[in-house]
Amino acid sequence: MNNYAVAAGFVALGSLTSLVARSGASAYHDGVRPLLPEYRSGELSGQELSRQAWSLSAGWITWFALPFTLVTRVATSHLVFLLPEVLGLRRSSRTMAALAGGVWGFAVFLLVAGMRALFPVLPPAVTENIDTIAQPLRHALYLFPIVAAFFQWGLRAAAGVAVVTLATVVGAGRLHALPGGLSSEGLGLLVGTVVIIAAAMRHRRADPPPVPPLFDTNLRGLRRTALPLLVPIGALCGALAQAGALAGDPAAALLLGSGHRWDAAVVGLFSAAAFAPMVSRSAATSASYSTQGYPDWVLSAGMLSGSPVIGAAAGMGTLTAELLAAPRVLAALNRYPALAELGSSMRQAMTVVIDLAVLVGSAAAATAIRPEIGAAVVVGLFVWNEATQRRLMPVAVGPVGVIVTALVAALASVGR
Amino acid sequence: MTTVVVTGLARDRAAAVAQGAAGPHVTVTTSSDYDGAVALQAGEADYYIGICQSGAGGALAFAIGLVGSKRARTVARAGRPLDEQEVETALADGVVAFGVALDQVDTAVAAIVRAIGDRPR
Repeated sequence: MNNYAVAAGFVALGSLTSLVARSGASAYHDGVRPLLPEYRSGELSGQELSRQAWSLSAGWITWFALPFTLVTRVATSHLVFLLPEVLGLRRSSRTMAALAGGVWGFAVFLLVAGMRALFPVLPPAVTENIDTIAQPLRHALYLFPIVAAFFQWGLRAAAGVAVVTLATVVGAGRLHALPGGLSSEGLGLLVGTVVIIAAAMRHRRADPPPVPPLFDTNLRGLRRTALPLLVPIGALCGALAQAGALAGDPAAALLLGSGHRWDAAVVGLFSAAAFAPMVSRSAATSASYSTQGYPDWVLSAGMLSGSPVIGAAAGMGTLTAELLAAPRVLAALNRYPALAELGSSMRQAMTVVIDLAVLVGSAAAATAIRPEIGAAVVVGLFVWNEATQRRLMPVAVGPVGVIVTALVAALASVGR
Repeated sequence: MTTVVVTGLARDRAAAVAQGAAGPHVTVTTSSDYDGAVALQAGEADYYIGICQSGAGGALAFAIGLVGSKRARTVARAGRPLDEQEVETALADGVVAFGVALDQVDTAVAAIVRAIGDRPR
């Protein structure tokens, strides 16, 4: 995709996100979705919900998304979706909503394109070492299912998953013939994920409680209310992910930005499996969907596609399939009750592993960029953040430290 | 006796924090988010604490569905230190389900349980 197409993609994504939020048929933020029924009925005004959405979103835009977009030159979903949603919920006219979302989409494009233009003129110490942030995470990817098994079932189960996963990583390391660019660690993550999901599905209810008819009606209604806008959103997400311009979360952005697109795609699949139960149930109770589907398999489908057009088709196909299958997924969650609990454990595992691996990688990157201050900045920032009850989301501490160090290195090279 | 049910991510650790902050009149239990919200609605639990990354999504989705958005509120958000006054205000407003972001668990859960314990019965 050339720059014009990428720009148009971000603008359209911003506009559509704003419009679908305005209609109350879908929300990207999981915390906004449960409030949409009251928004649609008018009990909760657009101004009020927009205000609440902003207070829930601001930290994610500033800390979860922005620092990673700056260091990876890849837009993260939270940066793209959250603000258009806040703007759309204000319930101004359709034109205004589309315009406001589009303007934000263009701003995100400018940020990504600007960072890409700026990157080559940065000092070599910065450009050569910044991908080090992703190193520990990339090599420790297979910890996600092991830690999830620990949270879910305890140490013995975690040890069992660790044996299978490590055998895969070591075995694959000797093969040198994995498809595409999938690393042996990425394959370990994939295999470990299948193992824990299969283990959770061994708990099967022969006679599951039926899905309440209201929930079924709610999910089927989404085909009329949400689907028409989500189909193009899926297509845009798939195309932008294929172009390497959009990733779902900090981990996927770090991997995609450092050239490991298959690993980024597998992380998106793990995350989708982790969030699917929660998305499915909150969609059923609120009669509204998730704007990007289960985060982030729509993007994974795009990343694994061979061209932007195929990426668009894949993104559209996955999001549509997900919405059409929603009633069956809900029924499956009743039949396999451990899946929802496992989803929580998987989400928690991702959070703790990513937070720590990114911090360690950032300390290494900052040290490589500017040894005499780098590590001190990252470690010092971490200590300050812990002492002040975490003004920064923990995952942001490392990259913010790297950005500060990179700025110092850039200024020093200019002054020389 | 006042019962607080803790649900969501890191709920065992959160429950330990809650136990530490609970006075003699507060009992702390844990359960899945769905069972916890049902217990709250049925009156088996007096208060509900839900935890997820944002303190709003998984943390409160079921609670909002079952007790309504007026009685469920996010009091600790990601990337922002806890404002203890917000907990007091929420309790005074009749909020019974509290959403907490994972990175604020230690301070927020303790503050909520302490505030619940301090309320006149």
